[in-house]
Amino acid sequence: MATADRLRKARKRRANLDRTKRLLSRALVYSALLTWLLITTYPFVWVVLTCLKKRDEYFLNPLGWPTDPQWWHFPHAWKQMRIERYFFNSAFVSISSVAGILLLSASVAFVFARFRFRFSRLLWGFVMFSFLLPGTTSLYPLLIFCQKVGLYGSLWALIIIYSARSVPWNAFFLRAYMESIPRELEEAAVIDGASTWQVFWQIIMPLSGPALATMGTFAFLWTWGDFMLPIMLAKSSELFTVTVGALFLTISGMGESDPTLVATGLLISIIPCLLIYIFLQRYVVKGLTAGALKG
Amino acid sequence: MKQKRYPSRQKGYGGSRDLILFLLPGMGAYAFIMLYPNIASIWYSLTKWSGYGKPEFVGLANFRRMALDPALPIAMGMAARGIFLALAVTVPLGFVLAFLLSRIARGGKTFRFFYFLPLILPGTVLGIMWKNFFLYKGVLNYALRRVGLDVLARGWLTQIGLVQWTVLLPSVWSGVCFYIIIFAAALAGIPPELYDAAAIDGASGWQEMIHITLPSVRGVYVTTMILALPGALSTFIYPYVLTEGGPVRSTYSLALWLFNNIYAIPGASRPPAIGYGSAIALLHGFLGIALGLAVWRFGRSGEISG
Repeated sequence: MATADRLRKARKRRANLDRTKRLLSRALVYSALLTWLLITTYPFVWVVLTCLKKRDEYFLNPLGWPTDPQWWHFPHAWKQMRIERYFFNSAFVSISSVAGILLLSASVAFVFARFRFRFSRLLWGFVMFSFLLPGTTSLYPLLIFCQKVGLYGSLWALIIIYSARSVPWNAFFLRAYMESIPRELEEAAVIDGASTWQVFWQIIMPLSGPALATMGTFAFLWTWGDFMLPIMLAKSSELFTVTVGALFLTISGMGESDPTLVATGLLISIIPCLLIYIFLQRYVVKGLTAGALKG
Repeated sequence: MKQKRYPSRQKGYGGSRDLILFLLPGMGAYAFIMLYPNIASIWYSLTKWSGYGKPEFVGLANFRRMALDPALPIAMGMAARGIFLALAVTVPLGFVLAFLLSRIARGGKTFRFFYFLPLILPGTVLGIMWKNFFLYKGVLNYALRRVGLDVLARGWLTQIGLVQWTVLLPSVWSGVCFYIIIFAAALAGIPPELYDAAAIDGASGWQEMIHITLPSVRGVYVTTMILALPGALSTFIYPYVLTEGGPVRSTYSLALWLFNNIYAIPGASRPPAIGYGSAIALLHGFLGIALGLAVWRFGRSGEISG
């Protein structure tokens, strides 16, 4: 095999590149990656170092290790600074929104993945077009809408809007996945007299598990982190989510706020995101990649 | 291929009543929540309204006012800076780091784990962390003084001319991490046979880069542009958290400008200007769509000719 031989030779030639040169380039590559790692993790290091410090100590040396850990910061932030309230608001909104988003989008995706009917192409085109609509133009009208239908002052407003607003993008992703599910199972079920409802719940939904998990984790992180809508629709501080609450921590009170307590609040408010990332990393990364490559 | 018809469709699978039941909640809710508000926005933009009482029709006055508002060139300047940073720093740096990441044998998973962190956390939270970095009494100035570079310590968030760049740095930071993932996925998709073939022909590292790696990620590159350019108009959370648009509106992005018009912090003395804010929102939407379509067309035509 002449080609294989030449390939081996070429690989060898490359492998024999000057050893020092190779080591040097490897060191350069690793130090570049490591530098970026330090830059990436800086804010997290800051939060961890800061949350246990005394206020004065922070201003004397913001980069040092806390000498006298102030553990009381955590219960204080949780209760007195009302992170507890914001945290449960966010949890309620995010979890319910994930359920709503998946239900609404999966049913739409199912129809477009499996059936052709009159206007189906037109309707799908409508779904695609709506990718282009910006979120900002709808902000204020949504507030008016919520006031009119009596949702203003309730967290359900956020849940309903999130669920509806994410339909196109999630349906687009789920449809592609559902189309890849083989039809044999479904055909057998239909011959046995299964209804559309049964096929959807007993075949399509279970088999779409990985795609649902991907979209679900993505939706959770996105709703947890959203800011514009929750602040627009917050009638009072009772309705703050963690993102809104976190911002008000920094501007609350007179004068300067205490960075150490703010850091404690921030750390608590990102724990769910970190947990999801650590345990569902595969889905998170898939969701982010899909999100970028959709175009 | 044409859709296969199910023999039993009439027997209850995929009947039109079922399809309507499946489609209606999702499509109906979407139309209600997204389409109606966008149309309402057009109407509001033609009115003067503080959110109380009835909107008063004023024709195109809001658009005229917008054209003369000094905030418009400021917002365009911020968008231009954002686009410049995205093209000159964020996307190239993301590509280089992704490329380096694809070259290493060990530790890739660990690097990746930390590189994704900025993307999973709320922008508000990250913004507050960065604000404490850039504050006058913050970490950056402290570190500079500590190593004897007192001359470099300055008001990163207060000095006009500098602050417009400072508030964009956190988006560069998280953007690089985002593009690392995107390019890493694209690089992993290049068939290794291409590199083997190049090795047989004795291609150098640079030649591989120019003739294999770069052309292979071209499609992804166009996609990243589609995301980056309209994204520059929508810059919001970091300027909002770091400076609230100040000092004296110098860091107003388009999105922040419109937000400050339609939203007033409870207890603020200035009432919101819904009509004006809606007009800015329309401009924002229009520019975003136009820019996205333009990049998309540009990317496609390049593909056909080259």
